[in-house]
This record gives sequence, structure tokens and C-alpha cells, in this order.
Amino acid sequence: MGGFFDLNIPQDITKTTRIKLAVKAMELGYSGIAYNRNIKGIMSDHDRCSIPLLSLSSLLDVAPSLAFSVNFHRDLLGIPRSSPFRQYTRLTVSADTPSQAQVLNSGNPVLKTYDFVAVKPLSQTAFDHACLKAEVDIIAIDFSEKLPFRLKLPMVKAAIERGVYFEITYSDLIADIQVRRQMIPSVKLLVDWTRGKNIILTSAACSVNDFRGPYDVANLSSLVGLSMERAKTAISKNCRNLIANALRKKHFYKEAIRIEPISSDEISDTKELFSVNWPKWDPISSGGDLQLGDIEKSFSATARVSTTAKAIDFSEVLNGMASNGASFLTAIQATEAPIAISGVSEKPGEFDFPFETDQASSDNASVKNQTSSNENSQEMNLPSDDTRAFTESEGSRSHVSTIKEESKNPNISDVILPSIVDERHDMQSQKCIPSCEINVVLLNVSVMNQTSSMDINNTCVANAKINTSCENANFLAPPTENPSCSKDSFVVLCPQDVSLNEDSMEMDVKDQEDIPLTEKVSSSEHLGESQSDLTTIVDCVPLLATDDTKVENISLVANKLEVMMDEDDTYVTNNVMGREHLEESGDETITPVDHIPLSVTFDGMIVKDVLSVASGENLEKLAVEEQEHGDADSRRVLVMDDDLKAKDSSVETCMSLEEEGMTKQIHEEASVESKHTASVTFLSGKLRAKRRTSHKQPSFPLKRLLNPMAFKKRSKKFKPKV
Amino acid sequence: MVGFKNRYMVTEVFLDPNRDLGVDDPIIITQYNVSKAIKDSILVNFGECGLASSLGSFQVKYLNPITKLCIIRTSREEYQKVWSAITMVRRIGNCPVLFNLLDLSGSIKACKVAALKCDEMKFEHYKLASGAPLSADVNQHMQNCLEKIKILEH
Repeated sequence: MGGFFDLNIPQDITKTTRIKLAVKAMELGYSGIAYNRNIKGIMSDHDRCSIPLLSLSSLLDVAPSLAFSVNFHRDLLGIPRSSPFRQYTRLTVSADTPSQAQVLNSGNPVLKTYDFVAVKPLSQTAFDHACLKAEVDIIAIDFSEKLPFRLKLPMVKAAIERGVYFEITYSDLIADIQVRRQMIPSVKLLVDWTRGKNIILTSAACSVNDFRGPYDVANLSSLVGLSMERAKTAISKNCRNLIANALRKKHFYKEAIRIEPISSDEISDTKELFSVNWPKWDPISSGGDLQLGDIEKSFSATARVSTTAKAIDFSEVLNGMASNGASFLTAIQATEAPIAISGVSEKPGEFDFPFETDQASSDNASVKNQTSSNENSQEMNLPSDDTRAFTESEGSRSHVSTIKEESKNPNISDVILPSIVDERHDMQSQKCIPSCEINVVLLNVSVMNQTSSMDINNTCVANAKINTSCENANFLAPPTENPSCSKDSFVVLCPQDVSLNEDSMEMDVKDQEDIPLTEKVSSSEHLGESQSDLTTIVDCVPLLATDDTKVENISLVANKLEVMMDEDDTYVTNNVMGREHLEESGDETITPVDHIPLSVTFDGMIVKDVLSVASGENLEKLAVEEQEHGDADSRRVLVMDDDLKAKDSSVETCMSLEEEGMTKQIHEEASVESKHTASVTFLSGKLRAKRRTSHKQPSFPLKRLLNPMAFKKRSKKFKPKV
Repeated sequence: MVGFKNRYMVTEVFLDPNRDLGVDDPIIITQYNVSKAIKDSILVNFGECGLASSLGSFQVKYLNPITKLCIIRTSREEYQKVWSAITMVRRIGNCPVLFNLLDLSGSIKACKVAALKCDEMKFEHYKLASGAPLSADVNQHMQNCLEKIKILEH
């Protein structure tokens, strides 16, 4: 079902009005709002996001009995009482000329500080550019005046294909009578051209009087020709997809990896890290969530939440870390490109597997995306790709993850994971890069570098985002998540069979310390299935948590791979230890780690079992190899995205990931695989169970755990490719 | 069978959503007030004929001034228009208002059930919001209203 969102609450109103609006939104049953800021002209550094998110206490000041009312309305609407109320930030850029519209590209650092970006075209050329090329989430057209341009069907179609949403604001309808006359014909035209798809309904309410409840808004849109069903999706499902997509792009490098810092306290005790329960990963959380539990609880929660003012998760991660002392979570997110669903990002702040970072993350910061300017750069910036999916496996501590990344092929996200196994990822693995220290956990880190060729977007595993670190561990465990995940695309564990195991790829962004992350990306085979699910990632978390030793995992993974081979799912088990070659066709288990990841000395490598999805995810050994080569192995990471999708088809492609020592090859393969890589399927229940049993001692992670025969097979396969 | 097919909407009214805490209700809503406001809204938005066609079955069947809950009946053909018009009501008299639909049903029975539940919840909320002491006649009034719901007929 999902909640209702109102993604346009103007920010340039008085604080009391904003509070009242937020209170009203909560009361009426909305699950989230976004504060909108308009700018026009040249953006400067001043324009970075500085919208303060509201805290629960301020809301409660205005309406002490808020909780009761909220619960009442939520029950009526069928929304679970305990779902948090989310706040986002949004920027609307008015574009008059194409040159102004050019700023809306993915490289713009100012844009990255906001959760969503919208463009408001003011001329025909700007509109065309917005539909065709601009990297925005929303196209907001001001219908209240006569449109200065025409809405052309091919443009609108192109925009829909790209996944951009058109926004219709309703508060003008309510507020002003004359405006209704102008608005309704234009909006009707838009609705006709789009056939009702890709539309979101928002208020741009300047005061509480113009604000309406979700069903009322859905009904209002019947005036402009939207059927009730489309209207309801316009206010709930489309918004949710948009949020998930936008956040995935933002927080995940190439939509595959996200790194969250682990506090240095955690590093010492890597074992414990695995046992820490990963908090549920909230795919559409962007800090600023308000939980309306008991008032008392909410007060405390708010206090914590409100510290994360910025939309970027990383800050929250850090905060969370500070407060919880939790380890980092790397969530592998499998995202499918078009579908926002899978991008699951773990809730920052919890990172199970320890990262080892030698140095301060300053380096990492640089590596990280600019977006994370506020926070430790947790995301690795892969220079080449826009898409975030990059699986960086931690690997060498010494390597600067950033560097590695940079050096990666453009296609491939370089992951510096010396020992990280590349994970196939359909899911994007998140790398947690602790700001202070990252323990490279991974041996198992399988960096899914597959992403190289693929847009990470696609890699998302259809079903679930996989929490890299935890999940991997959990993969072996019986699929607890499956039931939950089944529906969702997320679930790392992917009940659907597609489990993307991504070895947590840890990127040592900061300093390139080895990033132990082994992201296991398990591309769920059944990517197709659960794509729509956004939220099942949470499930994954438990899985991962259970993994105590990464090494074990790796070995397990390796073993499992073999076991898994039989299964349809392709498991990508990335062994940190060695680069595992991606399995060519999903059938193969993860290629045994041939080379133990070189320098990978991840302390806390988390072995993520990346089960290559049968479809062809291959574990990428990239991690290992890459480390050696120091290339960023984007491919590994990349694997995640596309793989999921491609899993089915791409069995072949994925497979061949990297041969040892063949980084280049890998790259190529990666690209191929990237499609598949994502298909790391999380272990299905049985897999998980198996994993558990085959817990290995923390031996050298790089040892080939898998059946050497399998490896050989693989090499054979690779031969021709060489 | 029954020729007239109706829709019963249970809505709540927020009076002056902008006001600060602790201020009393600016106006007292009555069935007449609300009905007039809605009809004006239909007139403005849908014109004379729109008003005329919805007037046949339109009625504010129940209104509770304490909890601000109201039940509105419309014909099945026109209910979307009337609902839109209700959403677009901006003020009653001088007071800005906000209508929010809580439940929509096709029979009076289902509507009664929903309305009772909503009314009780809203009354709880009212008690919470207004603080501890609650005068007896407010309670009495509330009981009367609840009784009224139970004897509602189409």
C-alpha cells in the first residue's frame, strides 16, 4: 500500500506556518512531506540545502494530542501506525534558457545536497531540454498562468520513459477561482498526453487552509481527467517510487554501494559487529523521520532524528553511529534501473561489518560523492559513472579507495577491494565507509564491479537491496527474510530467489584502506519479481547480522556457491579473498577465490555471500584482482544493478567476470556481467541455512573455498575470453 | 428494488486550521451552515445545472458540533462532483475551514457504523485536546448526538 506523500511544501514561509503545515499533514495521514525551495538563475554555493527539518518536539508543541489524531487517521487510511513520518528537501530550479537548464546535470554539487530536484521550465526550449536531458526527478510546470510553451507529446513521452515525473499542484485550484479557469485546461492536456502515468499530485500550499487530505486530493484530480485509480497512485505509489529512486541515486554510488562509517570503537571488535543487529534499512529514509510512538519515546527519538538535519543519510549514519555506536552497515542495494523499488538503502548508521580504515576518512571524503558533502563522504565517487552502483570492495587499506575508483574504467566502478570479492550485484552494495576508520572486513567483499558497464540503476536487484555486510552473512542463514521480502524487491535475501548477495563492498573511500566491505550482491534471480518492493530490505538486515566472521562467510559462500550452483539462483558469492570470477552463467557458484585478495586484510571483512544469480551473475573476483591492480573495479559494483535485471538473460554475461589478473578482462566481463552481476541472489532459505552450517573458521579469506573444479571450469570459460 | 442509489460521506471539519492552540472554535457549525457552504461551492464550480442536478439527493444528515463530524448524503451519480465541491470549500461564514473525508459508503448502515466509530474517536481526541474537566452537558450533548446517529435513516 504505501503511504501518501506531499512533495511540495514551500519552504519560504514562516516557521510557524511550516510547523502547522507539517502538523496538518501528519494529522491528515500523510507519510511524508518535502520542503521545496525555489531558485532561479545561477546557483552558488549558498544555495546548498539549508532547510531545517522539523523535529517532533516542535510539532508537538503546537498540537500535543497529535499522536492520537495521527493514529486515528492512519487507521482510517490503512497505514500502519508505526510508520515514520518522513521529511525531505527539494529544490526547484526555474529554467528559462537552455543554458540555465544545463546546470541540471548530475555533476552539480549544489543539487546533491537536496533530496530531489525539480525543474520549472519557462520556455519551450527549456521544457524540451527538461524532458529529454535534464537530470531531474520532477518537472514542475506552473499552470496557474498561461503556459508559455506547448506540451508536445513526443517530449512528454520521452520524459516518461526516462522516469521523470510531472507535478500537478492543487492548492491553486482551491485557493483562487480565476486560477481554476486557467489551470484546468492545461492540466487536462498534460493528463491526456501522459495518459495519467508519471504524475504526482502535490500541494504547493502556502497556508494550512489550502491543504487537503490524500483522498480528497485524489478526488480533485478527477476534475482534470484522472481516474480515481491513477489519482491514488499519483499521490502514493508514484511519490514513493520517486523518492526511492532519488534517494538511491543520491546515496549510493552508482546506485549500488553505500558506505556507512563505523565508529572506531567498533573496529576493534569485529566479531561483535556481525552480531550486531542491523537496523532495518529504510529505503526511503532520508533523515528527518519522525516516529510517532509514545510521546515520551518520540521525544527521545526526535532528538536523535533531528540531529540529522541533512537529507543525506550519511550524516544520519554518523549521528546514529555516535548514538548507537553501531557498526556500519553496508547495504547492498539492488536496484533496477527503472524501478525505484529495489533501491534499498540501509539505514545509515548501522553497519555491521567493520571497516578498517587506516586513516581518517578524509580521503574517503573526497572520494565520496559530492553529495555527501555534509557528511563523511561515504559514497564513493566513481568518476566515471553517474550511476552509483559501484561496488567497491574494500580491499587494500592502503589504497585509496578513491583513487581506485577513479582509476576504474569508466564503466566499471572501481572498487578498491583488494580482497574483496566482487559481488555481483543486482543490488547495490553499500559501502560503509566509516569516517574514522573503516575496517575492511571483507574478505568476502565481493565488489560488484559489474556495474562498470551498467548503469547501476539497473543493477538493482529486483528484489531487494542487500545489505552487504549483514546480508551476506545472513544469506547463509535461513531465509528469514524471504517471507517478508518475497514481496519486495528488496530484501536482500530475496525470497524471490533472487538474492543478491553482494559482498559488502567496502570502500575505503577514505583512505583507501582496505575496505573490507564485501558486498555481496546477490542478484536475485527473480529480479523481475519483486521489483516493486521497496522495503524489504529490512529483512536483510537480520541476515547479515548473524554473520560473525567474514571469513567464514566467505568460505561459506564459496561452499555455498557450489551448493547453490545447483540451484537456479545464481549466487554470487564474493569472496573477499580472492577475486571471484563472476560466474558466467549463474549456474556456477561463485568462482572460488583464486587469489586471495592481495592486500586485503580486511579485518572485518564481511563475507557476503553473493550468490550469483543463476542468470549470470558472476562473482567478481574483481575485488581481489582489482586490488592488485588497483583499478577500481567498478564492474563489481556495477554488477549489481544491471544484473538483477539481466539476470535471467545475462547468465552468460555475468559470468565471466574477472579472471585473476585480468583486470581488463574483467572489465570487459564486468560490463557484460554487470548486467548480471546484480544477480546475486540472496541465499534462499536453504542457502542461508547452508551458510550457517558451513561456517568457516576465519581462515585466510582468500582461499578458495569453492570447489576448485568449479574454478577450473570457470577458467576454462574465461579462456576464450581472454 | 430501491430506486435511489446514494453515497454517504462521513467527513470531519477543521475550523480555522491556522489558529493557535487553546483558542475556542470561532463559529459553531450547524447543518444549515455546512449545507449552505457546500451548495455555494457547487454553484461556483459547477454552475446552476450542476447545483440543480446534485440538489435532488443532497442533504447534510448529521452534524456533531463538538467533534465536528458530519454525514452528507449525495446521489451516486453526482457524488464525485459534490465531493470535489466539498473539498474546495474554503470558508464557512468568515471562518476558514478544511473538510476531510473519513469514510465513503453506499448504504446508511455501513455509514452509521463508520460514523459511530469516528465520532467516538474524535470525542476522545477532543477530550485529550481540551484538557481534563469536561462539563456534564457536553457529555450529554455527545450522547444525544450518538443516539442520533443510531436512528439515522436514508
